[in-house]
Amino acid sequence: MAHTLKVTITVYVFAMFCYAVWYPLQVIDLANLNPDREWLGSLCYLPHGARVLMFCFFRYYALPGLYLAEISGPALINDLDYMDGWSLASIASLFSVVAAVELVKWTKATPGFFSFFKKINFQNYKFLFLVVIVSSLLNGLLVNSFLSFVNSTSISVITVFRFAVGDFLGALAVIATLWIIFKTLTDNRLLIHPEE
Amino acid sequence: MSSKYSKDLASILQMLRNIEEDLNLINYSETEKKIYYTIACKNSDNYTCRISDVINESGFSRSTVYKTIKKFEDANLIKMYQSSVDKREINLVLVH
Repeated sequence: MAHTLKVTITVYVFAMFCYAVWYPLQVIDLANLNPDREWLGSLCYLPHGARVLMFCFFRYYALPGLYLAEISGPALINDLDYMDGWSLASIASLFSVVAAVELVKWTKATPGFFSFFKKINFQNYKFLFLVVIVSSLLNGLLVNSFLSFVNSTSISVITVFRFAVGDFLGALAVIATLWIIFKTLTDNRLLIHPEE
Repeated sequence: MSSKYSKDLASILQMLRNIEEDLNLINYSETEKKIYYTIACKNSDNYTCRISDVINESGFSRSTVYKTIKKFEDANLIKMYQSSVDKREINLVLVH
């Protein structure tokens, strides 16, 4: 119970931090990709990085914290910007990450027979990148299908593609940022590996 | 802190460390990095860097500095030239 609580708090704080950093950046639109504000979001959706990273390392314990962040993040930042049904569509987003991890597992990333209870060693970051790619594609497809169903609109292929690219680049940006922070800390001897 | 929680957090750090190792950025120890940094600073400040400068500036022993410089030379990171002013001195120049 204590472990679940700690993981939930950690995951929630991290995911909300990603939302808090991402939202102002996409409003500013530094790369000027969306000058007429035709669509909400960006091609670097940082919260997807939080989803992937937290789920991969804390596994199913991360889901409550992630879902809390999915529903409170947009509400705290700017609820009006999001389409109807977003809080339910975020279940599809989380499912895309879960499905991606299980798919990677199914492709024999773990030794022996497939099992939902087996853990992938994500210290091998190549599996993590594989999950990022698969989950981005699934998320683009599932969320847009769900939103089009709820809002009775048609699915645009461009939007699906934009979601997939945004999730992929956002997750990479989060991992790259963490790596830079880690490298700075180790270079300045603020974080020391036990073997050294 | 529960051990499972700290193990999960440590896994994230290990993953980041693995990225760094694969990018081949930590082949050199902190001592070697400091010596390289000293050579780079001296070169940029004075356009010359002698081995005695590196020993004085870095504070490492003569043997450590010589060993490290040899390693850098083998890796083609620095080049050594005999000083035209003092034939007993060796000047160090960064290759890149």
